[in-house]
Amino acid sequence: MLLGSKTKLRALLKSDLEVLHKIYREPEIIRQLDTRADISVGLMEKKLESVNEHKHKGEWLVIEDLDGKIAGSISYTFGWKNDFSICDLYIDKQYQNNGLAVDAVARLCKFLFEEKKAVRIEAVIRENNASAIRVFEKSSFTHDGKRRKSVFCNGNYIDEVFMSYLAREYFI
Amino acid sequence: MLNVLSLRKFYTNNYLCYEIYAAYIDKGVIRLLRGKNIILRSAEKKDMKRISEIFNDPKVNLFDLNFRAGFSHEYMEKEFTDELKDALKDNGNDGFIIENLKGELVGELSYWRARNARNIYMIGISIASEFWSCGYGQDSITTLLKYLFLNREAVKVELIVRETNPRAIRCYEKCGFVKEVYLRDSDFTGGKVISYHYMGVLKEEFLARGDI
Repeated sequence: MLLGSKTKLRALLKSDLEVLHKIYREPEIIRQLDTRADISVGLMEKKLESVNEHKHKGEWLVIEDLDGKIAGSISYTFGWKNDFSICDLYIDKQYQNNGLAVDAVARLCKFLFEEKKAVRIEAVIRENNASAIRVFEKSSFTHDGKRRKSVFCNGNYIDEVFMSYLAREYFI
Repeated sequence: MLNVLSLRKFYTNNYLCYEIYAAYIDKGVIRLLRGKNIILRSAEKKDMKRISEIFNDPKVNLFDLNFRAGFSHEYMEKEFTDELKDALKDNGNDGFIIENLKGELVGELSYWRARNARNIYMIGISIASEFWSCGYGQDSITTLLKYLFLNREAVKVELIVRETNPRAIRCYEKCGFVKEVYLRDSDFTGGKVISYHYMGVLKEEFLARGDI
């Protein structure tokens, strides 16, 4: 378990999926993170099984507030070399704007840099997701550029923003 | 049957591909794409020996993104056979052999669908070091772009290149690619951390160039 100043990050259990499913199905969240129109608990369970099976590929974590209530989820995956991506970050509506996401990202980055020897941590965000971009900006991520017209969304091709945080910036 | 159908579609729908010749053989479709000084043809198993030689050339290997120290031709043949199994499904990935007009094997060029996007393709190219700076790269990439944009409904083609490979970057820019993302510190080579350029060309940009 990773303990931040506002959040706890812990492994996702099958019993959490019902709660997480409700959070994930908020139209604003699922439209940003998924290509499907809807997702079932069964499918999330399958996804969890596959993440647990391929441990070397990454982890799927639950974000809890300090009282132990589930506020959202975050995960990381390995890239080609010593690089990692943070993905599937989402927070329940009622917990938003409390700094939970920023705290969770900061704690996960600390873990990846200090325990996993990450050289680069990457986040790829759709350009219309301003709140996520703000979260990563607050967590010291830098803009690397835009992958132009790479996602088809609401009838248009939109850009994806690449952001990264490097070990040499973290360890100054 | 799939191949006969797709071949018919190939001939009837694409009036623009007058320079693309296709021939149907028992095992699959052989496509020939013509450039100015090169042709792109389907790979055969017997090509893998030469391809593995190219990949093992230290000069070429230095810029390769596959992160393997070596490629035996048995490994390449196995990989080729594995890919051939899926080739008939038309998953949106394929590889070509680049041949110059003398019939010499110059290199290989392949394309595949980018993650999470149907109409965005990524490409990768390797050219034998003795054929560098002959214009073969630009010629074959332009030919492939033409095929992807006009015949495969691509809206965008992308690639990733090491920043330490200015010759390739110049070639891609000549083909219309634009640097989009600078993937800082993405790779570790020769004891140093280096970065990648993520480059892309949009269909409308490519068609506006007018040299097709």
